Amino acid sequence: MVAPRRGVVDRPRSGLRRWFRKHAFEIALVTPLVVYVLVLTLAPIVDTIRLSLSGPRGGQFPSVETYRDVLDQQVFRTAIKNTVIVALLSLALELSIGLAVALTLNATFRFRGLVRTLVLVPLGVPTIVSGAVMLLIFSRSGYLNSLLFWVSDVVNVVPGIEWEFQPLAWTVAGGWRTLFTIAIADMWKVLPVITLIFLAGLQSIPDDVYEAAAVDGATKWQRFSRITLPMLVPFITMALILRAIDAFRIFELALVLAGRIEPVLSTYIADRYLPPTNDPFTAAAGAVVLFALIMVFIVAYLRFVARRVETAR
Amino acid sequence: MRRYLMALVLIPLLALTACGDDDEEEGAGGGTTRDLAGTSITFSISLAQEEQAAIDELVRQFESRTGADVNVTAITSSDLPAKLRVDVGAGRPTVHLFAQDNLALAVLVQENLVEDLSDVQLPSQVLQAMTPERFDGKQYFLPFRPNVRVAYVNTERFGSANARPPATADELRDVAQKLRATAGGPKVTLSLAQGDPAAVTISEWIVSFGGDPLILNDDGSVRAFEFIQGMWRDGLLARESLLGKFDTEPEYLIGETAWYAQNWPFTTAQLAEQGLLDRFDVYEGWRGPDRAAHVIGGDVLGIPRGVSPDQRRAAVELAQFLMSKEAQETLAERNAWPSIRDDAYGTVPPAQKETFDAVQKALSNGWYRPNVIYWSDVSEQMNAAVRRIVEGGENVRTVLDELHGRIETAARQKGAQYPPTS
Amino acid sequence: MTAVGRLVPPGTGRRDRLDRPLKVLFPFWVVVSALIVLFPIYLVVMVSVAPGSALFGERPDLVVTDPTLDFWRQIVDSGSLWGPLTKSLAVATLSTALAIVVAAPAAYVISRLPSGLRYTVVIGLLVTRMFPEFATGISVATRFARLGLVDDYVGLVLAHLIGSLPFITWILVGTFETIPRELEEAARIDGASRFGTLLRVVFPLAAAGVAVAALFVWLYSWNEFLYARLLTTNQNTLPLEVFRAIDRGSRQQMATIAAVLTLPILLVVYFLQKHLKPGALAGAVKG
Repeated sequence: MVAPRRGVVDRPRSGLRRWFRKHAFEIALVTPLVVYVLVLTLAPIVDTIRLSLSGPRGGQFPSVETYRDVLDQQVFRTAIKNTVIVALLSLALELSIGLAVALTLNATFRFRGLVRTLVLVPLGVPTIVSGAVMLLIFSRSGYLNSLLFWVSDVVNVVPGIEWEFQPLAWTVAGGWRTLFTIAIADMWKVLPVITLIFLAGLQSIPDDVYEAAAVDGATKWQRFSRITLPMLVPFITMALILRAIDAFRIFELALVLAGRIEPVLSTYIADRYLPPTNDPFTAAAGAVVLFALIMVFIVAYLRFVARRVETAR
Repeated sequence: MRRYLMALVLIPLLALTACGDDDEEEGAGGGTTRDLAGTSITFSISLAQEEQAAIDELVRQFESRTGADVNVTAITSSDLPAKLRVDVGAGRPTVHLFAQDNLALAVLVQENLVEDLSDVQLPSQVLQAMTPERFDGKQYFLPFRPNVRVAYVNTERFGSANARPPATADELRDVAQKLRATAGGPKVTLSLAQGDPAAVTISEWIVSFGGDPLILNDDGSVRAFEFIQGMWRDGLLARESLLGKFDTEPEYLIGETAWYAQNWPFTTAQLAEQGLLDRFDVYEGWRGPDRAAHVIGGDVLGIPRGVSPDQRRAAVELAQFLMSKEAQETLAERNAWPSIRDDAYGTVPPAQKETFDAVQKALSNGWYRPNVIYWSDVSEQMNAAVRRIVEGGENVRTVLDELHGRIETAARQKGAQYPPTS
Repeated sequence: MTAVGRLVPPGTGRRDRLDRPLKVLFPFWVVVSALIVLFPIYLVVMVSVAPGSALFGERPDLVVTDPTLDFWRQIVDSGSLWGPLTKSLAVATLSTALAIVVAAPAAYVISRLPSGLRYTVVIGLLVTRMFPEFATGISVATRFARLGLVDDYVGLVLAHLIGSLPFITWILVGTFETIPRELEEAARIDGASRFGTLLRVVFPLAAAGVAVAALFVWLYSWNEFLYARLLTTNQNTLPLEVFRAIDRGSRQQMATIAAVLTLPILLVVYFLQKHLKPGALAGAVKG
């Protein structure tokens, strides 16, 4: 089984034909996958770009008319703005809480195994279900308000405090409140992933570094800020970029929680494509814009993260 | 435009004048022979879960009588055009009979997706006013079920706010104020979700204030918008109104986001299922300064183009069965649906009686959406008006003048006479 | 909880100012965060058995005192569950089977490439996994609509392979790398054909890895919403059915169908726990 190795490394001297014949077996094995990726991943992307350049309602090609249309729409600009805000909000929440949870699970305490299992639970919850649950929690007659009512009752027992709680319509309030619910929902859903990434990072820090610091009399905070955090940077970068890519794509949660109140890019695209709008052209233009945004992060991923993962393997 | 307003549904009156003297359609509808044995069709109807059981039962009856095999599926009214486009394009219909929202028919005819059903005889007991609109003189759709929105009142909260169900628009504002004072926040929702819900709500407001939605900047329209804008500005309408539509209003009522809301009567079935119906009063709703106006919605039946002759025959028979006295009575009894016939008065169960009466009263003040080819533009501009005037607080007159101009342009472009003759 | 001192391991040096607050707050923090994580799951189950009176008003009850199985009974009796359940099961299972058939041979070849090239191919596959589904989805959906693949098992299976193939290939490359080439060479010397070697020597050794990868892609397809939404008008999958209940149903209907979708998965994830490596997750899970 050295054959394919040599074949790929050495340049075939006696022509393409011989090379093909020699590697017929390998070629037969990879062909289905290659064909699939070409036909159902790369070709559709090219096709989507073509659709987006087809002018309004599929007129002449090429034309940037559709892009002009899309960029003129207030709702599209809002969608971009919201996408960025949700991404920033959820990244901040996820990284800080994820780090805290990872630090917790890295300590030894009773029931650690149990807690680790519990923290992984959201992983088993379909995104659409977490959207449904967050709707139960954040609507005006939802369980968060119910909890806050209860808190206000308790607080009001204390003499001198009068706080009449007015229920808040978190999801339909618009603005930061609505975007905040999306970020919270997203955080709950991906907390296990972030935690596991950070946990791997924490476990990669050798114990003797801490021992040396302890001998030097460093406090816990110093050890955290001068050793743990700097050594986690590659893992933080990895989590950051991966999450950013996902945050730009966020769809189900935004669809369920914000609907038309606060559009994001994905819900805008779906809204254009699906009935009653039925306009694949502006939808395609929106998809290309989203694709371009994500490509920026993929390039960042390749430059900063992929190499480190490879060396870590 | 008076013509449209005159298309009222005066059920009691018509019930007296239309004399059913033949029984022949009972045989046609629910024939006892198993002459359709072996034919298999799919019937699409999208309902709230609570209303589905009665349909399933009727379909089973039809199956056992005719031997046909009927598969019931649910395609929502917004998905149906896309589904038919695919089916008809591929030349292999997967749906053979559908019930569709009568506010969403034009696109099906324009894109040539439905069979001409001019050869199908309507039972003579079908009320004239319940006959679906014809397109180019052809009958594409068969009547099935009329529907109007009625008002739901949270009895206990109204009691503690010392409010009574409003009978006029002014009373509606007073009640909204009282509810707000009691609750500390707005407790009335209007169904203003983008699309049909906003169009239906705004049409009712404009007509009840003496305006014409097709014009959109006449005095009645301006007064109606000023009224809604005022209520919104004074914080009398819950922000949930912007998402208010047929399927969110029951949730608002149950969650007490709204202590007062108007909605389609399946709400009653939903409340009953939750064991909450006794907490609500149901009545026909308030009237405007000019009149009471209730947009007549509901479902009609149609057959996609390209179904095989056998399946067409089975679909027509099923449609006729659904229009029969027997089926219509079942639907009245089980779902409290008003009938398309003058002779089908099932015994409505006591719990549904209040709703049924409210629906009948509202139907008598029904308003048919005008059959103009630029209706989609009117609907779009009414939606724009909601965003800009109600939500955005812009000047009513200025905005409506601008939107009127857009309707006029669109109507002329489509070759329609504008302003419409009345 | 004596080992709180090892929160930042393993320094056992002098006590410092953080010791006391950490010791006191740590148990609270663990308990509260575990409760917050579990609360949504609790809600789904609780609301699915809640009678209407427990949901009425602005302050829905946090605890149900008189649970009812009406909504579970309704969803079972109405028959509206079986169609989506069958479709979800069929699509997930078919696409998993196809993914293995297409990806396993290719992954084997990739695993035998020189490391530089192998690395490039694997990263390339992972990168396609990060593309927004809409960039492919808009074109795929318009084409499939014309081919009559909307509301069709085949259409959705093909669409789900777009997401699952790169991922399963990536995991399997890692699995095949661990199988020593000497085993293959030994089999070849014994006279086995190349394909025979692959089938009888290599694949059996990779079976465990294939099984884990299969579970991941099965989960992906079971949960997938976006392609399903674009390629469906009335033959809903379970996630679409949840969305329909969000849009149109009562809270209990929504919670019941959500529970049907979720509970089996929680079991699967429980058994997958030890295979949840951060690298795998980066490819497997999206928010």
